[in-house]
Parts: sequence; C-alpha cells; structure tokens
Amino acid sequence: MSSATFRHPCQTVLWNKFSDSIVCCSGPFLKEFACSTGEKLNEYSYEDKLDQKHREAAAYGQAVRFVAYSKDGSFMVTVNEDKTLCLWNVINSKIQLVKLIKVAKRCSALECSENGDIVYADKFGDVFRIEKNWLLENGIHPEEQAAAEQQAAEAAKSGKQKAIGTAEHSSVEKVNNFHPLLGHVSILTQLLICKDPKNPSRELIITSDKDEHIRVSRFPQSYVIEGFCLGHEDFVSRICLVDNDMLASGGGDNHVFLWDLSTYKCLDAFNIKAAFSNYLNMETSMALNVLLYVPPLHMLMVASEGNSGVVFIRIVDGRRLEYHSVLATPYPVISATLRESSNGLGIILALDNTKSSEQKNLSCLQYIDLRNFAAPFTLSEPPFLQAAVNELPEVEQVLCPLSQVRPLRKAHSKFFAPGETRATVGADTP
Amino acid sequence: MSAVQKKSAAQLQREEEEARKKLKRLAKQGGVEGRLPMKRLFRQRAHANVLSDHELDYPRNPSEMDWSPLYPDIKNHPERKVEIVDIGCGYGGLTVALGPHFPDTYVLGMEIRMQVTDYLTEKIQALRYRAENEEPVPGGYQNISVLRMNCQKFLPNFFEKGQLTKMFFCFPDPHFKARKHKNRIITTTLASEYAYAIRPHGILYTITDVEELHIWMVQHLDAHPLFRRLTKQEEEKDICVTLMTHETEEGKKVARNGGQKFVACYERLPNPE
Repeated sequence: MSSATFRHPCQTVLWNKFSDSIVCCSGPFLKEFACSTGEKLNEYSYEDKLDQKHREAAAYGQAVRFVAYSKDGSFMVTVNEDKTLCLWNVINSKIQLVKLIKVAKRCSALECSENGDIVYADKFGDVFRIEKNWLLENGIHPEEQAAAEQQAAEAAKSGKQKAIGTAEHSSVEKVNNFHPLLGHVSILTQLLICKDPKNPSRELIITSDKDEHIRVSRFPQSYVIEGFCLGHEDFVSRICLVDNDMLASGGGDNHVFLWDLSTYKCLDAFNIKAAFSNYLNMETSMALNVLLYVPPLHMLMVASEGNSGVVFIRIVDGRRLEYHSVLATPYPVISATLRESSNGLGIILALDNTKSSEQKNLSCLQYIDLRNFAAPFTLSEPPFLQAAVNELPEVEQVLCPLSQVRPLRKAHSKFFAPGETRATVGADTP
Repeated sequence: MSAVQKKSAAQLQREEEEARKKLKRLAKQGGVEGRLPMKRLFRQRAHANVLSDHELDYPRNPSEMDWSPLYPDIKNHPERKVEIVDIGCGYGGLTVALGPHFPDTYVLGMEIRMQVTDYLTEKIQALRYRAENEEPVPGGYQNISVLRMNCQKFLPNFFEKGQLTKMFFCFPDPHFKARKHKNRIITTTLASEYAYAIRPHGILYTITDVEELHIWMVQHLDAHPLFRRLTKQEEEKDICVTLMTHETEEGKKVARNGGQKFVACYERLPNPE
C-alpha cells in the first residue's frame, strides 16, 4: 500500500433547496456548504472515542449512505451503513441530531412523504413508514447512545460479555414489530413518492428491485397495486420522475426506459450502452448509479458505475428519448445532485478519485453549469466546491464501500462485459 | 479463487444433471404413448430457497409470454387465457384434477423444483395421449400445463392485472424457523401481489396440515384489506375445496397418515375508491 493521502470521495451528495447548499457525505463525515459563498454550514462526524483497533470498523459503520429532507425543510433524516437512522432538526440551516434508532435491516432507499413521514426500504425488500413523532418518542437520544456504547466498551474491557446497550436492542425490536407498507421478494433499490397523475388527490409509491420490476402502489394504501412497469432485462437501480406524469428508469441492462405513469406502458427506450461505447469509448457493462432529470431543459443525465463520463438524453415531444451529448469526467461518477435555484442551474458530481493509476490533479467534486444550454457542457470547479473539497478528510484508504450497484447483477446475467464476472465486480469493501 | 471453485461446482452440478436426464431418457418410463412417468426417478428435496437467483426463463412482461408450447391448442382459442393457477403444484395432483372441471379455462401449475416440473410435464403428456387415444376427458388435458417458476418473484411477469379467477396454495413449505418466516408464500406484502393478479370476486384458496402455518396464513390474509374470508357454508359449496382436500398428493399423504387438514379461502374484494 502506498501511503499517499487523498481527499476521501463523497459517496453521497445532495443539494439542499432550502438553503441553496450542498450536503457532502464523505465516509463517516457529513458536511454542508453554502453554494453561494462556500461557507461551511454544518459539520458532523462520529466521536472518536474508540481505540485504534475499532476505528476502521466504526468509520465504516458510520458512513452516511442516504440523506433526505422533509418537504418543509424542518428536519433531515440520514441512514448509516450500520443501520442507524438519524433524525436531525434543521434550525436556521444548522443541523442538530435529535434522535437515532437502529433499524432491523440495511437500508437501500430513503424518502420523506408529503405529510412528513419517513419512508425507507431495506435490503430484504420491505418498505416501512415511520412517523416523526413516533421516532421522537421511541428513538434514542445521541447522548444515551454514547453512554451505552461507552458502557459496552468498558464491559468488553473488563471481560464481561455484555456487548451492546439494552436501549439499542429494544429499538430494533420495536422496528421489527412494524408492519411493512409493502414488500418485494428481492433487494429493493429505490423508492419514490409522487402524486397520481390519474387522480391528483392520491399519492403513489413507486419501488424498483433487483429482479427487473418497477411496482406502482397507492400511498399509503400500498396494498392496492396500480401497476407494474415491466421491460427491463436486468436489475433496475435508478428511477426518477419526469414532469409528474412519466417515469424514467435504468439499471443493469442496455436501455433507459421512459414510462407513462397513467397506463404503465413503455413510451420509449434509449440505448445507453451504445451511447457510452460510441461517444466515450467505454465497453463496460452498464450499471446505472445516477439518473437525474433536469426539468427546465427536459433532459436526463445518466452515469454508470465505474465509467468516467455522463450522457445527456433529451426528452422530445414529451415522450421520446433522444441523444443530446456526452461529457467525459476525470474519474468514475459515484453520485450526483441537481442544483436548481434562482442563483444557478447545474449538476454537482461526486467522483471516485481512488482508483486512478495516474495522478490527475483534479478534485473529486465537479460542477456542470447548465445555464448556457446552447454551448456544449463542461466541467468546472466553482469556489464553493473548491472550499468543500478542501474540507474533505485526507485519508490513506477508502473508509466505506463506494460500489453499490454492480453487485446487484445476477451470476448468470447476459449483460456482463467480456471478461467480467460477478467476482470481479464485487463490492470494494475496505 | 473461490469464484473458480464455485464455477467448477456449478459445472459439476450441470454435468450430473445431464447424466441424470440421459438416464431418464434411456429409462423411457414416461411421457411416451400414455405411459405415466415413475415418480421415484424425479425425487427432489422438498425445499428450495426462494430468495436465491435461480436460472429461470421468464418473459419481460405478460404480453411477451408465448403460451403455445404449454397449451398446444391455443391457436384454436386465441382469446383464452390462464385463469386458474396452482402455486407450488408439486407433483400436480390438483392441477390434473382441475383440468376436466374447467375445460374452457387454462389451468397452470407453477413449481420451483426442476425435477418435479419435469415429472409433471411428462405426466401431462401421457395424460393427453390417453385422453386422445383411450378414454376421452373434458378438455382432454389440453387445458392444463406446468411451468418451473418462482412465484414470489415473477408472478407479474406472467399475469396481467385481474387475469386470474382462482389461485391455489396447497400444502406450502411451512418454514418453521422464525428467521425464515419471510420466505413463507403467504404474507401480507405478497398478498398485495396476489390481489393484483386476481380479479375482483376471484378466490384465493389455502390448505395446509400444519396448524401453525394455517394460523399464520389466516392472520396475514385477514389483515389484508382486499381479502374477505369465505364462510364454512361457502367453502362447502365450492367444488375446488373438495378437490384440493382430496386430490392433491400431499392431501392424500396426510389422509393416509391420519393427519388434519386446515382450509382457508378468501374472496378478492374490489379496490376501494
């Protein structure tokens, strides 16, 4: 191992529309920067109380995987690798950890519904809904948690085999007794909650899974399944709403699909593999990890895990997908978020700078300014991103897995690129 | 390294499978000219993991499904669809018994274990031959078929919304361990998928000899807003209840051993507005 240090990449970035700021989750660190000034608004990391031996494990567990804001911006929810779901109060764009709870299984998606409930999906395919008030009553206060952990650590030191605090155990049991809203017999990959275009007084919950399904159910009466969007030939990893009446989806096969959310019929399919190989000379198999819709431009942006580039697809006539352009990036894309404020329109990309063999002195956060639609898109590093990168932790090795999508592929999939197997694309655990 | 070993193990398994099939072909016990296949050549352990990725063949969506290999007479009835499904049909006692009772409908048995579906495929071939050449049967067993499938995952790939009128769950795997309860075929979350496939006022039938599982299934289906349990009187009037109690292979076995059978049937209610 070389001892060269690098800025730890962000496994998740999210633009916060309430304060025009960007939330960067870099390993166990959660930081937020204002897009206008680059000022650091928030910073949070796990308390380094543990000894050296447990540090890596702790860093891994504390890695923030998902962030979601309530619809009114009054609170924020995060989920860590170690199944901790945290509730944060947001006051004057400052965050404060209020309660946390251990959920039973690892999370794979997180959303807040219109009325402020927290909806999350786990790797067992179940979707749960937690009311904020329930969480306030039943969650553990962070200080209690810290005390319990310290107790456990002391107990472990003195040789007693009482490892975990009792508070933590009871919270898992409470969550276990929950009835899921709905369930797939498969790994759930993403969930969305939206208005039903057929009946605006009703909400829908859309869930996608590893077994090529996209299910549309009523919300919260999720026992009524309205329909399925079926057409993918490998896992579905990303879905996103398009103009409230259409859905775009992509995953491990070669196409991005556009669906009508009233009939659940496929409107169009776009060969994304061809775009990557023709315009970016990338012959790897597709594993979509970013699918973003840019409403003002009627455009989708797509990235595939492990590929250093993004593809832009235009939606024309309100129902067809058409190639627009590609943009090569210095490193593979991990995460992306759309910034759509009065001060600017653009996409913030989080890149994986850990695997490049040569030293490219480019930072792991890049910006695509979309204001000038006529010109070809380019990467830039505006001051707020430079400020953010300078605040990212300097490390010698990655603290949490960055590859989330490729391991979803089945062993007998026909979409493996030549020479690629399930073993070679496995998760890169630290 | 482990990947290489795994692959060779899979290859070994496949070779074994090939050898077994060859042996079976040589034995020519079943499928030919109405001779029924021998069950002992098709034994397989009673359980399969529903969460693992089996190499299954399934269409991307119901409109892409080609039913003609399963129902050779479909060209004479292009509008006819599968309306009765026997989930986990096993050796197919019920599937076969349903055929003559519903000659104008397609009946499909679904089963995840490959050996068992192979057996039933050959048995159906033999029955069709007999019905044609020896003693005629309503429907001539042309209306029954079997498919190897994981129904907990891929039901929506085969059936459109409201396509089914009857769905049978006969003597499903009890999954006694609490950790395995999620694998049970009747859960409230899976019931939503069944409700999607069954049309309003269609019936979902369950039968088991394990009381604990019966209580579980009743509890989960009772909790589901789209299902209403049939009364005892309604159950008695339904010919299908008699069939599934007496015609399934498991049902016969339980009767032989003097065991109890627990029945619960549910009507699919229309969606609320």
